[in-house]
Amino acid sequence: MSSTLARRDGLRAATMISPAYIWLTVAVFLPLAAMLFFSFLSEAPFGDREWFVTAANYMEFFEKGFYLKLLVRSLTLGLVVTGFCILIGFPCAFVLAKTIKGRWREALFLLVILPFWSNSLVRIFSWAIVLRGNGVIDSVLDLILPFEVSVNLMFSYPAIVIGLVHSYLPYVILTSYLALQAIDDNLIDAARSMGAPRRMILWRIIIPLALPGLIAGAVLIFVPVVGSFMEPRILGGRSGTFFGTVIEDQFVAVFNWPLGAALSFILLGVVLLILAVSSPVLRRAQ
Amino acid sequence: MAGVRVANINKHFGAMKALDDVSLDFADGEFFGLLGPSGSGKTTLLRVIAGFLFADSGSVVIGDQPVERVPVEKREIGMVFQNYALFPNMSIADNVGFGLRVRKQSRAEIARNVAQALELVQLGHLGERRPHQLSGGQRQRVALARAIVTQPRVLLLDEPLSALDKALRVDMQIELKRIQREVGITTIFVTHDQEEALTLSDRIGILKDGRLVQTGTPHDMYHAPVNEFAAGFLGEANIFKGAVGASAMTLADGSTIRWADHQQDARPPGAIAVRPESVIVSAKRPDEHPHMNCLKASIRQKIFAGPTVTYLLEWQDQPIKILAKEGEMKDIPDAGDVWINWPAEKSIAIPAG
Amino acid sequence: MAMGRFLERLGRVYLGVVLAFLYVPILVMAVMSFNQSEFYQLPIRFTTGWYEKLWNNSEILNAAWSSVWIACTTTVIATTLGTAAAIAFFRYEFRGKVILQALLFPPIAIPWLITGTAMLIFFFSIGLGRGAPAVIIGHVALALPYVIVVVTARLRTFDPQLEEAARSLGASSWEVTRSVTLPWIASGIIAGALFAFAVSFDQFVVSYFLAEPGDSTLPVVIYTAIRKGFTPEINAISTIIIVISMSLMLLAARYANFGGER
Repeated sequence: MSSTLARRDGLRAATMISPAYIWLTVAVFLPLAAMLFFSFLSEAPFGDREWFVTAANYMEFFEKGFYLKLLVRSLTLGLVVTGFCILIGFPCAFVLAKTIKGRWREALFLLVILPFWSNSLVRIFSWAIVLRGNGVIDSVLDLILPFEVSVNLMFSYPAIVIGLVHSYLPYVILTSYLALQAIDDNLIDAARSMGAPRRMILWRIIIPLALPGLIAGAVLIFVPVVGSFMEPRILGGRSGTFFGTVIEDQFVAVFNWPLGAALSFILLGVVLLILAVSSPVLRRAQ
Repeated sequence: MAGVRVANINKHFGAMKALDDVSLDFADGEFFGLLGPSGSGKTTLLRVIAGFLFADSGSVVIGDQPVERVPVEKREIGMVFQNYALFPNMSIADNVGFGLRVRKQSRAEIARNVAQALELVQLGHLGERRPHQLSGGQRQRVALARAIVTQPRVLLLDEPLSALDKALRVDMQIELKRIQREVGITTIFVTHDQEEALTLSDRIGILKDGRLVQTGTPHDMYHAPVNEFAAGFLGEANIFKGAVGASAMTLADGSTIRWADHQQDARPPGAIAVRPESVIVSAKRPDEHPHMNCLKASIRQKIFAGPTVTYLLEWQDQPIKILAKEGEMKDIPDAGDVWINWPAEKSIAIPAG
Repeated sequence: MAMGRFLERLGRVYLGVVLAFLYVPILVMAVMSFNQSEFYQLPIRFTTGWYEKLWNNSEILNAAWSSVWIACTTTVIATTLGTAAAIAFFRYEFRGKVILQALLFPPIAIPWLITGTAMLIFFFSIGLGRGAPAVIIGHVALALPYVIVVVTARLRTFDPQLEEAARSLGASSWEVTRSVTLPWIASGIIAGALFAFAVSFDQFVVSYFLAEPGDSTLPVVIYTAIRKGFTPEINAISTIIIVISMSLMLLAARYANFGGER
C-alpha cells in the first residue's frame, strides 16, 4: 500500500530535482568527460583532420620540463598568495570577530566581503591603474618625498601577488571570521581566570578552534590561484607566464586543444587531490 | 463525521519497530486519547491515520472508506499541530479560511464560515490580526478553528496543549472539550500527560514500545489497569508482590493483604496495586479488621502542596507514596514508624503475566 | 575578549589599513575615469567626457546589452531550477540525496579555467559551438549551486509542520508550495536571484571561452581592450560595472539577511 504513495513522492522529487542536475550534467560533468577524451587525441577531431588515440599529450607534460616547471611555478604562486592572505586576513578577522560589537561589526564585515562579490576583472584592472609607472604611486610619492623616485611594479611578479591577494583576501577573512565567531567567549574568559597569558590563549585555544575555518579559506584560495590566468596576463605582462596562461594559449592562440585538455586535466587532478586531502577539514568547517 | 478503524498496523523505521500490530476502533463522535511515553508510537499512529506516514502493513478506514491509498490532502481530516503551524504570512481569517479556499468555496461562503468558526472558539474579533500578534492560547484556538471549519470527518490533535503553561492548559482542556461536544466530531489526540488524557478522553488507549497496552474509559483504566505499566503510567500506584493465596497475598515481612472478591479474575493476581489517595496513615496500630490491609512503614518525608499533602514512606526498603487532603490526617509524626492501611476493595488486583 | 586598550586600538587601525587596501585601488580607478588626461596624468582635471564617449562606443554598448540580457536569462533559469531543487531537497528524503548535494561543490570549487575550457570542447563537439546559448548554459551551471545553497539556508528557518498543516487542510502539492512555502522563502529566492545575476554579470572566464568573438559580454570586451592598452574609457565602464555589482550584493545581503527573520 505504501509503495504507491511513496512512488508518487519519489516522482515529484525527481521532477523537481532533475532539471537542475540535468543542466549541471550537460554543462559541467559531460564537458569534463569530453575533455578527458580529448586529452588522449592526437588532433582535435574537427573537419576531416586525421586523429588517433594517444597518450602523447601527457608524455609531453612529463618529458618537457617546461610544463612541469610552470606547474610548480603556479603552485608556488598559490602558496605565496595563500600565505599572504592568511597573514593579513586572520588578524583582520580576529579584530572583527572578537573586539568589535553590534551593528558596526555587521557593517564592517559586509564592507570587507563586498569586493569579493564584485567584478574580479575590474578589480585587477584597478591595480593596473595604481601600479603602472608614472601612475598614482609615483605621483603620491613625489608629493611626499623631496627627491624624484620612480616605482614601477607593473608587469612584475609582486604585481601579480598583490592583485591576487586583493582578489582572494576577503575569502580567508570570511571563513576565519565565521570560525572565530563560533568560539564561545566564555572559553577565553575561563582560560584567563586560570591565569593563562594572552599568547597561550591564542596558540592553545583560539588558533586550534579556528583552524578548520582557516584551512577551508586557504584551500578555497589556493585552488583558484593555481588555475588563474587573467590576473597574470594583465598584471604580469612578460613575467606573467603560468600554468593557467599556457592552458589558455592552447585554446585561444595555439589551438592545440588536445594538449590544452591534457594540461587542464593535470591541473584538475592536482585540484581534486588538494580537495580530497582537505575534505575532512572542509566538512568540519561547514 | 465518521468513526475510524485501524487494523493490524505495523510500521518500522529502519530496524526500530514503531508500531507492532496495532488495531483500534475509534467510535463516531468519540474523544479518544492516545497516551504513552515518548517513543511509544502514539505520534506515529496519529500520523499514519493522518496520512503523513504510510504503514508497512495493515489497514486504515475512515467512515466506510479505506484510505491506505488516499493522500493526506484527500482524506478530509482536520489536524492541530504541536506548535499550531499557523501560516505566518496570512491573517487569522485567511488561516482559518485556507481549507475553504482550497475547496473553492465562494468568497461569501468563506467569510461566513470563518466568522462562525472564530465565533465558536471565541475569537470573532481577531480575524484581521497576524499569528505573531496572538498569545499562545489564542493561537491554539485559531489552529482548532482552522482544523474544524472544513467539517472534516475526524479531528487529529498532536500534543495540542503541550506548548501552553499549566494554568492556561487547564482552561484550554475545558474549552477543547466544550468545542468537541458542540461540533460532535470524532477526535483523536496524542498526549504524554496522563492527567490531560483522563480529563479530556471518552476513552484512552495506552501505548508502549509500539504495542497497544490497554484501552478503556478513564474510569476503567484507572481502577482496573491490566498490568504494572498501565497502573504506573495512568496515575500513580504502590505495587506489592508476594506469595498469592486463595484470597490474600503474603508479603515478605509476613503480613497479608487482601483484595475484594468481585475483582478477582479466574486466575490469581500477579501483583496488588494501591493508589496513593486510597491509603490512610495512622500513628497507632488500628484494630484488626478482615477487610482492612495494614502495614508498618516509616515516614521519610512530608511534602506540603496546599490542598494536598504527600507522604513519602518506606516499607521493607520499598518506597511508598501516600496522598492526603490537607488537614485530613492529623497527629502524624514527621518521622518514625507509622501504620498504613487501606480497605480491601481499594486493592487493585493486577493480572499475572 | 577583554584586551589592552592599546592592542584594541591597534586592531582598529589595522582593520582600517586592510579596508584601504581593498578599496583604494577601486577608488583610484573611479576617480581616474573623471580625469581629462588620456595618460592618467595628475593633477586631475574633471570631465565626464569618457562616459559620454562610452555612449557612442557601439562595441561596448552591444556588449553591455549582451551582458544584461544573458544575466537576466541566467537568473530566471538558475533561480527556477535551483529553487525547485532546494525545495525538493528540503521536502523529501531519498537515497543518494547526500551525493547529489555533494555534486553541487565541483562547479564552485573547480577553477573556472578548467570548467570553461571543458565546456568549450564539449559544446564544439556537439555542434553548438560558441555564442550566447553556450554562454548561458555555462553561466546557469555556475549560478545554480549558489541559488540552491542560498534558498536551502532560508528553508532551514521554515517549519515543515506548516506544509503538513496545509496538506491536512486539503491543499495539493502545488497549492502548498504556492501559498505556504514560497511566501516564506521569498527573501531567500530574491537573494539567490541576485547572486545568480552577479555570477553571470561579473563572469569573465567562462564567457571568455564561450562567447563568439565580436559578440561578447562586457568583461570579455574589457579584457581585450586592457590587453591592447589602457584608456580612461575602460575606467569609466569599469566604474559603472563595479557600482552595479556592489549594489546588487548589498541588496542580496539585505535579503539573505544571513539567516535572520524578516
